[in-house]
Amino acid sequence: MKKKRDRLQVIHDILKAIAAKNGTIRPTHILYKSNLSHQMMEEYLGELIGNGFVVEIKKEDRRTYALTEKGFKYLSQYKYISEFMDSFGLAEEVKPI
Amino acid sequence: MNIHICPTWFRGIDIFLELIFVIITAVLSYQAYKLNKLCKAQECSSLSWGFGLLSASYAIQLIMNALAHTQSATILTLQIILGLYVATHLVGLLLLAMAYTHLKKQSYFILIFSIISVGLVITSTLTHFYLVSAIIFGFLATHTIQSYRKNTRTKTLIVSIAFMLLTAGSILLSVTDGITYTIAHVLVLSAYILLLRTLVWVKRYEKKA
Repeated sequence: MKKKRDRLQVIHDILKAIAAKNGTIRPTHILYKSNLSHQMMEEYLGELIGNGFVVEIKKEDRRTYALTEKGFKYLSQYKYISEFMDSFGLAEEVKPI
Repeated sequence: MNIHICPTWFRGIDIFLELIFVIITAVLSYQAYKLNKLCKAQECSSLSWGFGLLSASYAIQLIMNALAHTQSATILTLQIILGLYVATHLVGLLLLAMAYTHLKKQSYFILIFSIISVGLVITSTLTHFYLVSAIIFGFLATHTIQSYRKNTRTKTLIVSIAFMLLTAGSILLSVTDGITYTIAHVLVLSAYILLLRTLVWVKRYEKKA
């Protein structure tokens, strides 16, 4: 059975996908790498932009997303964040698509 | 509401232990606040406010007991401080429950708080307050046990044991007796030491900037 990911891991997967593409990525790549439905991905991206982890860049008809310093910091501290949440029993699971 | 019957030999020691509770819960609150700045998770924010208010409630309890032991305050003053202690403790516990249920709607929080508050005001006994606290701590213990069954981490088990100790401590405090008051303080101290130990273990994973 596929293991459920928690919310923080989904965020980590999205940020990691952006970082892997030199810090800028197109939404289709995020969709492919994060293994989320389109609606869920849009919700997560909205949250990530709102929290300042990611910025949206619009060039002509193309939409790309770039990591901010806060986003890079999240990635570097992810092990600590996930360890804290798991140890204190706070991790929130996300239903797979 | 009546204030506890503290054994003579335990006077001063209880205040010292409460000071430790203030410090540990403040440390837990600060760490959750720092984590919230990193990951912007609602759970961390609720955890930070929850432990912060518990810290404030223990500080109020400390002042209240110091005034009661030295008999340097009127009954009315003590009753007001006691009311403040009950309110901060209850809100703190409900915020912790919010963190564990991933509850984001404040309306639910207000509803639950109102129901409990009305119940406590009507009965006006500390026994009911401590039993409500025991129920909430028991809920947190159950939730963390479920998390442990999913991830089987020793640290999660330790956190759930800490919440069980806090549940037992609250149950004992509901019995207004000198011995149970003493045992409850020891149980609560053990619980917070376990939570602090878990935090120290987790902090090893933090990368220095």
